[in-house]
Amino acid sequence: MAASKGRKRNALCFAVLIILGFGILEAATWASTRSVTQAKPMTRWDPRKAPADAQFVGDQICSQCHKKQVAPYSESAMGMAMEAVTDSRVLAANPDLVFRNGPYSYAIKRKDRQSFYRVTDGKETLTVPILYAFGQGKAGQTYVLRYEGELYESLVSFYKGVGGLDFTVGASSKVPSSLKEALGWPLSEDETKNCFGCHSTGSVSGGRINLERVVPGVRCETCHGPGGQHVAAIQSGEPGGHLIFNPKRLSGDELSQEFCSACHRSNGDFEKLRSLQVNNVRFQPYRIFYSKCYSDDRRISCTACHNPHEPVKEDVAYYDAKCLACHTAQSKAQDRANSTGQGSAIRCKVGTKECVSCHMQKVGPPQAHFKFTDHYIRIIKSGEAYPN
Amino acid sequence: MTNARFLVLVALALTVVYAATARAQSSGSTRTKRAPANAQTAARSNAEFEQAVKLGDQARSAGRLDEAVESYTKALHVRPKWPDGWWYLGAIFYEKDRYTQAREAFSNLVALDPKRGPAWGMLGLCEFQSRDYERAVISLQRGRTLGLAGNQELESVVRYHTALLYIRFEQFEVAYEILKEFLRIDNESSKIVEAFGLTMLRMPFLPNEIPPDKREQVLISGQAGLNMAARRLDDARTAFDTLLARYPNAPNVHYAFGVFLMNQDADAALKEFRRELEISPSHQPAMVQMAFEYLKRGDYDTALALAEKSVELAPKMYPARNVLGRVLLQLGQVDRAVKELEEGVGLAPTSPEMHFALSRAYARAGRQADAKREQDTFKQLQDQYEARRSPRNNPDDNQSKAKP
Repeated sequence: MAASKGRKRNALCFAVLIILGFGILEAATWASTRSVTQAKPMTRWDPRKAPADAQFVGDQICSQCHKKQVAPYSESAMGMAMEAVTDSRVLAANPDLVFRNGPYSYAIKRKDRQSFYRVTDGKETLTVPILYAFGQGKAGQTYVLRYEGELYESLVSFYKGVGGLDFTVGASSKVPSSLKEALGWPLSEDETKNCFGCHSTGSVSGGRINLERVVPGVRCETCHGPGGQHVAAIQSGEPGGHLIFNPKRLSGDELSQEFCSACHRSNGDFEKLRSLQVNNVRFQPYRIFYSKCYSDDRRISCTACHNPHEPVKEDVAYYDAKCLACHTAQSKAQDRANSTGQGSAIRCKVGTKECVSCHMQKVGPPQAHFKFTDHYIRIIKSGEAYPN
Repeated sequence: MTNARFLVLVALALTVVYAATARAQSSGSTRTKRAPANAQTAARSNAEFEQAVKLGDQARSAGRLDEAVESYTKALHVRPKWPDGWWYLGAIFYEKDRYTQAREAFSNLVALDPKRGPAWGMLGLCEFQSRDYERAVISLQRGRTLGLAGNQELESVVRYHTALLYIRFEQFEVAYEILKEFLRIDNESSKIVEAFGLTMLRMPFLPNEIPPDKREQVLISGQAGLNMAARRLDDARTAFDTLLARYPNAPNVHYAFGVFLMNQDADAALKEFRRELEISPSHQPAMVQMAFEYLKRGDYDTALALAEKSVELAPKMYPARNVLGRVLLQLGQVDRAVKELEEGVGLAPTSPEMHFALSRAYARAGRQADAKREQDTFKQLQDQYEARRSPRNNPDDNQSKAKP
């Protein structure tokens, strides 16, 4: 009898627990759905300003639905803006790099998927592991090291143009006064945030650097924002398109001068960029802004010519169609007559092929061992100085 | 640098450059205007003018300045549109510390030739000496914009006085930028250190108004500011350490240190700004700096509170309008952002960054024509800014650190 009562009590408790369990589960699901449905639409996103509570999900999750975009992206310049040293193609292909600057000898040696940066003055030697490799190697690659608790940018970098090491762009070529100085440039907090903020994903949030979270390269969520809420919505069967940022929603000018320029730099930094003189050729939104044809028109925005999900097209003829999207009119009169609200521009009298080879000169800043395309589109006068 | 004799030498040297051309132009115009009926009168006037100029030149060369004034005055009586006459008179009066008369002479000159930068520069210096500081800063700045005929000494004097006036008008950031130009010509004299010190401590004084008990503080701050501007960070840090040890509770010391730390350790900088606010609870520049940092971090709510407070405290300071407008833009309050940035442009119409920020806001508001106009203004102002920098661009600028 007592046992029967006990069994009944147990059964009752079990039933109550089951009901409570379902209740809690249901409540949690309801709460999660509610949090997703109540989430604010992501109408704006600044790639450099991830909030402290950003929920990054990673490329693998993105690729479950967006395989077509994610797959080629891994080979793009932005996707490879930083390499993990263990996977670095440049360091693997160049296992023994050397350089000399006055009394200092440099060597970068590869061993077991790790690379070591060594500098010696013949008496003393500093050897530190390379932590991060910045740049895909198309022009070059610069290294970040840690020494005595501080992060350093390497004084020497790899340049594809010379197939070896030379001074890092911006570094002084003077003979350093100490071995520590010869190692490189100590990165301030701000510089660290700038470097990692643009070459990796998730490492800077809430204005703070967190190297534990570094995902090398500019990954999906750098440009589209953290995908946590978007994925949660999709998984719960809710519409989630509004919970991820699509830069397509921006106007041409906003895209170039605010969004892409978060890393590629615009006139918000004009004083500093001007002072760099020819070295500012690397900052495309800043340069294109001065072009006569620059406007809010999407046909002159960054993505009009570059598909960010793919490697940059090297064939100059590829860009002809982009120029001819506007430069169609035979004369000013025709230009006016053609006006359909889309706007057009006069066709080039010299030619309609390989436009960029004439109007976007290749400029090689000192030290870079690479010629960058100047995005200041213009009629280039023979022998003209670099217009700064 | 402020030596009056030296300035007169500069002024007189510049005169030589202008004299030949102007005199030739002057004679030419006389010839074309000469009417046959008045031929004799005109010839007499011409001779009288030439004679007065000749006597004036001789007296000036011999250092008989009173005689020179008399002769040039006669010449100007005959031909009041003779620009060099006004230049000579102005320079001599300046030499003799007769600033009111010098000012009148240079005023006549700029009325005749409003594009003559050196005349504006000298007029500004006269106005400075006459303590008409508001006019002086306008004239000096106009001289700088038009150019000072490549005379480095006059450029230095004008630059120095312009910086002093911006300090006096509490435009410390502008003054700091102007003082930085001295580093390009390796001028790190004690006067420049002193001016940097006033800028760092945000003391709206002219050098002769610095209270004796503040002089040491100004000079240490000046060393810190000058080294900071020259990017000699270790030396700047040493000066700041001394300053903080000796004046831990003085207003603006923590603010200045915070500004120094900003690019190196933003968290430490914010701590210094907070300390400054403990010492001076209404320290608006500290609030603006903090607001910019929080804007950069994407912490818009914190940035907004600070920016709004700083505008409330100092509605006429354009950096506060700038940061408030930019924060509002990030928060999607586009109309308010436009309003704040328009206010900012009104307060600082020559600030390229204000026009750029406003162009961004107009673009966001869908006002493309307005955005384009502001972009164009921005480009023009940038060119002017560059023109001021370019005469002796620092070759080391090429080596500046900046990565995409």
